[in-house]
Parts: sequence; C-alpha cells; structure tokens
Amino acid sequence: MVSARVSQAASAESTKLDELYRRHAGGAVRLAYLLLQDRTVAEDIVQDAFIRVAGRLIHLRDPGAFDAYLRRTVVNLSHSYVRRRVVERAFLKRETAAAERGTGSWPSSALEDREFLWGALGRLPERQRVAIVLRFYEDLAEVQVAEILRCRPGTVKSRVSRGLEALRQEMRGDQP
Amino acid sequence: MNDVDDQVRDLLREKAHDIPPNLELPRSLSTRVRRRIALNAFAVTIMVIVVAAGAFGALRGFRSQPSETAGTETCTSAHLRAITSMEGAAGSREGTIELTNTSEICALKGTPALTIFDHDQHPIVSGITFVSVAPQWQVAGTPQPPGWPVVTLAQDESASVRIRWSNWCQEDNATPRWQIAIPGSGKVDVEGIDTTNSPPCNGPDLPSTIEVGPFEPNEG
Repeated sequence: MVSARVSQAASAESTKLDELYRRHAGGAVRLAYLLLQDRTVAEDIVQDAFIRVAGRLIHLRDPGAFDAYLRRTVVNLSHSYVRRRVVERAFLKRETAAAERGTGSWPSSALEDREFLWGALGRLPERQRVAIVLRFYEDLAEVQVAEILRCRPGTVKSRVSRGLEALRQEMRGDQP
Repeated sequence: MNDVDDQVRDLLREKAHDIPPNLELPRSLSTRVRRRIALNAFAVTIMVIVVAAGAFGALRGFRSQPSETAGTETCTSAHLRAITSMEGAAGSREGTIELTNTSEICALKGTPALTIFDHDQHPIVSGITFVSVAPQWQVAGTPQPPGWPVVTLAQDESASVRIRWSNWCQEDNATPRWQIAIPGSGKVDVEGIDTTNSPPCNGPDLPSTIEVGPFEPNEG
C-alpha cells in the first residue's frame, strides 16, 4: 500500500519535472547561449540551473516564479562560468585565430555583418553583454534587469548604453 | 544600416533560433534532480530536527538546567523542603538551611538566592547585603565531597546551605518569612523561622550582611 503510494508520488514528480523542463529549458538555454555564445556550455549551465531550481521549487504553483528563478540562476551560473575564465580562454583562443585569418577584411554582406556583430557582442565586457541580452532578447525592463543583476536601474542603463556604443564603434571599424 | 540597437535585437532573436524551443528532459538529468530533491528534503529534515532539538534543549535548560547537573534532573522547588536552623555566634547568627528532596533522585548546583520578608510580606531589599561565601567543607578544611559542586540527592536525602547573618538594626526585628531560590526552578519557603533567627544590632551605621554558601551535601 505504502509502496504503491510512493511509486505514485514518484511518477507524479517525474511528470512534473518533464513538464517543467519542456516549458522552461528551451528559453533558458537560448538565454545562456546568447550570454556565452557556446551551445554546449549553455546546455550544461541550464542543466545545472535546472537541478538547483527544480530541486527547491518543483512544487511551486506559479510557473512565472519558476521561470524568474531559473533565469536568475542561469545568469548567475553564466557569470560564475565566465569568471572561472574557462569560456574566456577558449573564446579568446578562437577569436585570436579568427582575427589572424581575417585581418584587414571588414564585413561586406548582411550575413557577415551579423557574424561580425555576434563576435563583437562576445568581446564586450561580460556585464555589458548580460545587460544587453536581458534588455534586447528577454525584453525585460531596466528595473527587472537590475533586480536580476542586483544593481540599480541606472547602472543597467549605463551598461547597455556603453555596450551599444562599443558595438557601434566596432561596426564602424573604430578601435573600441 | 539600421541603428545598432535594432541590429542587436534582430541578431539575438536570430541566434536564439539555433536552440530548439522545446527540449526533452534527459533521463540522467531527471535522476540528478530527484537526487537533489531528496537531498534538499533530507537537509530540511535535519535542520528541523536540529532546530527542534535546540529549542527543546533550551527550554529544558531554562526549566531545569540538566546539563549543569551532570545528566541528573535538577531538583525543582516543588520537590524540596527547606528548614533552617540558626544559632548565636559572636554578635551574629549562623547555621544552615537544609533542603530535603521529597521526590525522585535529583541534583542541585550553585549558590541559591535568599529573600527575607517583613511583617507585611514585602521582600526586604534595602539595608541588607547578601554575600556569596565558601562552602562549609572548605571552611572546615575537610576533603571535597564527591561530585561537588553538584550535589545529588536521592529521595529523602538533603543538602545544606551555610548561612551567617550579622547586624540587624531595623526597628521591627522580626523577619517572619524567608524564601530560598532554587537555580533554574522556583522558590521554596523556609520553615523554622522565628524572631531569634535575626542577629543583634551591632551598630545602625554598620551594614547588615547575610552570607550564603553554595549547596553542599548535608553532613548529618
């Protein structure tokens, strides 16, 4: 009797986990990918974040709350990852090689423009990149971004503005 | 070329499509999450037990201070009977308050507080000084009793507290009621009080002092 109940509860929990993952993981991986520009790392980060958040909040009834916790955890874990420099080192290696290959050639087509911008976004300081992704991809208000990054809305505004200015300079071919 | 804001917005949306919107939960991840849930539940359970045990221990300690009496329950005022016996000694009165355990085995430790009352049943708080002094066994130079400062009392066994009172000059000489406070418990009315318990007046300008010793095994 007891074992039947336990297996019933385990099955319900499993269904709930599946549902949570299907609903939230895709968006979370996209966010991590835009922050880190590496799909594999992004998936790892989201899996870690999911374990942490689902471990605590599986029984939350408000899906919006789960999403907010997951998003914040993804941003924090991405930040930790960058701080550990694992991503930065690999990224810098790749970028150095790419720069050596493409010295002197500025983007000439729309596709090249986008890839150039993508690279420039990756070269931004992490704080500016996170602020830009949360503002322009997640469409969050400055106040919401500030809440996730635990800073003031004015700081978010200035990080976005500086980041965009650096991107403009790179697109124009100026030294940032 | 559009402004970089729009370009960035478009780029991010386009790049996001590299990732499919709905991902299936990998089986290994499901196991890891379940393990985490179980771990969290375990941690919460342990925390609740620790907090509850701490609260229970604190409450018990507040009531009876069991840790200070080496595992034996501390004697409570409800199970103690106090009787004093005083006699004259060079301008003062000295003697003991004997505390008898009327219940199951328990222990006493420390120095009790003594309160004396006037005829109106008010505690006398001015003109008198209470001083903690050494136990009788130290004064007498006898070996330290086993277990002291914890005094363990089986049923009907008793402990004693040394008292020495000097210079009582208040007009109404009688102090008809005394109470002895048991650490961690309540107070016990002391029996055997009469006016002869009060010492003579040696000088109204001199302080009245009551010396109180710690609990010690009753020699008798």
